[in-house]
Amino acid sequence: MCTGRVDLAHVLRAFNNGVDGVFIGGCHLNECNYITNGNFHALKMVCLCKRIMDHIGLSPERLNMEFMSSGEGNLFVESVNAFVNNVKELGPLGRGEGLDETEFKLKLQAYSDMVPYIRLVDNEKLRIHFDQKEQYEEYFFSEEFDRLFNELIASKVHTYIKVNPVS
Amino acid sequence: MDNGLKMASSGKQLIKSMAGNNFGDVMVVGGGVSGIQASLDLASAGFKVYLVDEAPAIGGHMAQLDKTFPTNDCSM
Amino acid sequence: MEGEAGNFKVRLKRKPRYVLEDKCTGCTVCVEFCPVKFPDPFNQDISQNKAIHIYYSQAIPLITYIDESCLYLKEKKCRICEAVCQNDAIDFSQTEEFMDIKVGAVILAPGFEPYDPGLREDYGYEKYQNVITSMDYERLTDSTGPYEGQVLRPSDQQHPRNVAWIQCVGSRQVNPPGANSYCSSVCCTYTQKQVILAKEHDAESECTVFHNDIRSHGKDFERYYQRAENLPGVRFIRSYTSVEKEDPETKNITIKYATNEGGVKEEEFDLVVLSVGLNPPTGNESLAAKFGIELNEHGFCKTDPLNPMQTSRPGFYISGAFQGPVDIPESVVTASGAGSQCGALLNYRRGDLSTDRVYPPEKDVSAEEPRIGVFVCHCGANIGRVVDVPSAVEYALTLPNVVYAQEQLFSCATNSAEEITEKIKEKNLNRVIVAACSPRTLEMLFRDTLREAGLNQYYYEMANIREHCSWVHPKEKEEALLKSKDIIRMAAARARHLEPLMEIELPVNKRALVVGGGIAGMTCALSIAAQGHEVCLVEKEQELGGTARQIYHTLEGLDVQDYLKDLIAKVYHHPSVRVYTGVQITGNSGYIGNFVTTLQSKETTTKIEHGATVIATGADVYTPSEYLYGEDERVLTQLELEEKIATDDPAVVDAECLVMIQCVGCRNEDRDYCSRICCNESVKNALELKEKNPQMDIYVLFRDMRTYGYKEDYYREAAEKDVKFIRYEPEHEPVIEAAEGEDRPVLRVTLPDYVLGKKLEIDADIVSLAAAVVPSAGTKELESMFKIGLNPDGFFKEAHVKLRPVEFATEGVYLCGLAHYPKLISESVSQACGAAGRVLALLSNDIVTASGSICEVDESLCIMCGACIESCTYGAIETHETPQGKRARVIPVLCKGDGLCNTKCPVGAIQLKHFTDQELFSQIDAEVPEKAKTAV
Repeated sequence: MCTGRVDLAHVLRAFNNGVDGVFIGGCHLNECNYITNGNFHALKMVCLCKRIMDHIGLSPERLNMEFMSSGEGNLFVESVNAFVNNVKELGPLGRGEGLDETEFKLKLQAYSDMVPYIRLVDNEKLRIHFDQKEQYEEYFFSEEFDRLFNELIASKVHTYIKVNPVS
Repeated sequence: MDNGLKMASSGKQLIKSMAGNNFGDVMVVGGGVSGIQASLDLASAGFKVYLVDEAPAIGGHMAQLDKTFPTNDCSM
Repeated sequence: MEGEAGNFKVRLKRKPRYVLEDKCTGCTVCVEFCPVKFPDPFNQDISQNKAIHIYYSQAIPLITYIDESCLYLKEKKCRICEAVCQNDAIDFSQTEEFMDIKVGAVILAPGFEPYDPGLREDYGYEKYQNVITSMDYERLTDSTGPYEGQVLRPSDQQHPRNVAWIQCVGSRQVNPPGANSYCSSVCCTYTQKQVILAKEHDAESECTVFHNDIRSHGKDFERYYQRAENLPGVRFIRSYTSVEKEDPETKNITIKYATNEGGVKEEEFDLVVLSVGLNPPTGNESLAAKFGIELNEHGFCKTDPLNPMQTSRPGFYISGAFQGPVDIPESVVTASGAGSQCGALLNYRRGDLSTDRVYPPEKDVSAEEPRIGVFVCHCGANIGRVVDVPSAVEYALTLPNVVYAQEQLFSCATNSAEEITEKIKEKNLNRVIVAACSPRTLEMLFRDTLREAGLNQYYYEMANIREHCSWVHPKEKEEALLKSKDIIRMAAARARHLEPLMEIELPVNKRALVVGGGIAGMTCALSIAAQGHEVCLVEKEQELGGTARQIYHTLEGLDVQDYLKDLIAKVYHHPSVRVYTGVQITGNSGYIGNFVTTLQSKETTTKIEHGATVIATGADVYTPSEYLYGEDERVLTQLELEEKIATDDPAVVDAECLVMIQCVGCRNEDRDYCSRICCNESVKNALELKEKNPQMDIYVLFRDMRTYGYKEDYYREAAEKDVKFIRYEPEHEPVIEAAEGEDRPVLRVTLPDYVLGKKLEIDADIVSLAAAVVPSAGTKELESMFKIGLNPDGFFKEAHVKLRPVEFATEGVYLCGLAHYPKLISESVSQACGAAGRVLALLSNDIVTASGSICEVDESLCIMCGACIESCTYGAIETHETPQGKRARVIPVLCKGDGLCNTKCPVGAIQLKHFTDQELFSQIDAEVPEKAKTAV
């Protein structure tokens, strides 16, 4: 199983269950154990999810992806410990950001329900590939992506929530 | 890796055995990493192997190493 | 022993263990009660162990034995262990046993012994407490070592802050006698490893490595060297050293060393580590005498110079470090290679002694309610010391669908695994969870355990409470127990949804395809053919031979052209080898055991069906742009020089002065690796030139002389014959210009000399460049065609650098020769035999099984958007017609189970079996205890 198997639905489900942080560990970019380069896809998904969390009002730092090889146990320990400390500082999910629990859970659920549609958008409109992790981060917080996100995703979710106020 | 392939021939698998009639194909003297690899290869290729070592367990000097270069994987 | 190849009788003396192997469970109660303490040789005598003990914590078999320090064996007193053993596993009545074993061939793999600096008190070893060997240090950093991974120095058990390593201890030495003249090959890199580990253990530590040449000649070693060097607080100092004194109070060690810029210096260190070399194994002479084989002058096995696995006696092969100091990949490669040669010798009796293994028929439990059995393992103390296992067992029983739970000391022990099988049958379990270590270690074993009980092996789930829990939270016992419960609960949630999956049996085509007709390709082809398989050997040039066509002699003086002619003749004459020259590969498809490759020559297209592929496509030489190469005909590459020497070209052979420049085009930003062979090549050319023209002035300008292993002797010989070796640093590379010498036109080479502290000007007639070995031109095409990977330097990437050095992660494809990495001819031969050995491990079977964990399309959901097909890099998904229209369909044998397609399908129609969304969601939900109670 590759990190490419990790789905947006899985991450949203975890947060919807009240989990405070989600960590994904994958092979170094360009060193995918399969020839799939699934880790690039996982990274793309993580960036998209961070935008979604940002939109809901949850701190995007609650989701983190790190790359390492199976020989870098120390790096894993460092990454996880740093991440856990960071999440502890952010506080419990939603409450740390001062959000109303019912509201953000409603939004999380809405996004979860909309995952099939978001996959379509991803397949059709997000056929990007960069070599570096930073380039992905840059793109997903760019104006170009802002427009795409607002038009095709955020607004649709907004409509969905209005039509289905109680999840 | 999750999907390693296994060699089978309608359920036929090879067993190295110390009991039996003391008749084999190859004797491998030394149970370090090299002896172990040779034994496994020969067994997978259809030969009966006797692997002997003077120590009470196999592993040789590589078992004494902590990590191996250049990947820093655990030696065990 | 007696006999001859094909029919040996070996008499073994089996020492009594005094422990009954099938009764001992490895519980170690006897070890606790044993009153005898003895320095533990496995821990380099640093810590103590008992007379009865397990050899080491991960020993196989994981049972105890009693050694000579036992009170009962010495004085007939004690027997406490017998009294406390709950399984009656101690048996003092055991005696020495003799067994006569008949075999057809013998492989000797006795390894090596670390050099013992104590014999001459080198560098104060055994005189000063805080001078230790690298093997001592290795045990200190190991978490199963004397201080459980704490690096504590001998004198006061404090953490050493300031550590020095001294290289080449016991190696590269001729005077005084007692050490070895050869280079032990691995010490430079293992020291870099220890430096990296030291910094991991203590980020503030200061590490200093005192070295001569740094020999980072292996794949990825140069980058590893840089990684160590660039760590803060790490110094590499090129200098001879001596240990001056020990401070009587602090026991710190003072080292004296010399540098070019600073003169002689003295420094104090908390701990000094001697990087000891590799000696022949203990008992080498008696071993050789017993088996009637010859040793070389260094005490290692004497082997055929071009076949490091062949001893002086037929039927006897060696593998590993018995040939001389080599690293682990070489040990593994020669093991497969020796196996391959045994296979050729004994091919007539292959399979005769193998026995069938029969599993009971599988029950169909798919209609039953899940009945989960949970087995919680103590793993000795690894888990049990941190996690309260009995509590975990109690908790497991509270989970829905768990009908049985128990603890075990070592679930992987033969008797424990059998117990699991019994319980499955007794309690009618249809799901099994073992809460223990990682699936990477033991999933296969436990799946087998289920099969033995007639249960589909995919009903097995592993809960990792060791690597994921007890090992990473050793000091937080309560939280670790809570986390173990979480992990077990999540495993149970997934287990409920597991389905039986069938593995696919695929037939194996017995033919092999070898791509590349150089020494590696030809050797591999012949080895496979000798074991009864048809081989197609494919070469893009019109002639076979590859790079070897440009090589005339090896350093040992062997005639390569003769060898090559002989090898080519063998290839053409072998009835099972079909040779295709002057062809291109235009296509490849299929999967392990069933490949189809298309060859294109000028007139014809040929399709070859084969079960295995070997890549042996060699390498090219860098065409330098530096040092006037290409502009001045007096500047040559090493290979060009070799040819001119062999053909006695007067411009070369009669030259007054010749300069060789090493490391041209590599060990730089463009190519961050070492080409491994060039230092040897230059020494070889220098020695040949000195033979023909002893008056010639020869200069070798080097960065590090990497004449590793026995080649060190030739380096020494060259220096004794007055070949001048001058070091240069990469910041001040030599400069060449055409100039007028005293009496003739010359190439003037200028560079700083660090020893003399001056600028040197050398007037040369010929300049030879050690041009880098680079990946061969067709590499990238082969990468995509055969679905194999490349490493950062552009050479092919093997599945694992140490443990699977001749195969690719893509199954059924193997690798050998220069295509893997630059290497010597003897190393290519080793690797070629190794690859052949691994090919036979595949082709000698009629069937190969593919995992059941592959993707499947639910056609009722599929909307035929094509997203999955597009995303699959293995081409494993196709469209097919159904009465409802086109649908996607997975080709089971091509699917590798990565699962990427699952995330692309908008409707979730394609699911990776064994990792379905339902299974994963159930695990995610189960993490929250409240949700788990209501989970479906």
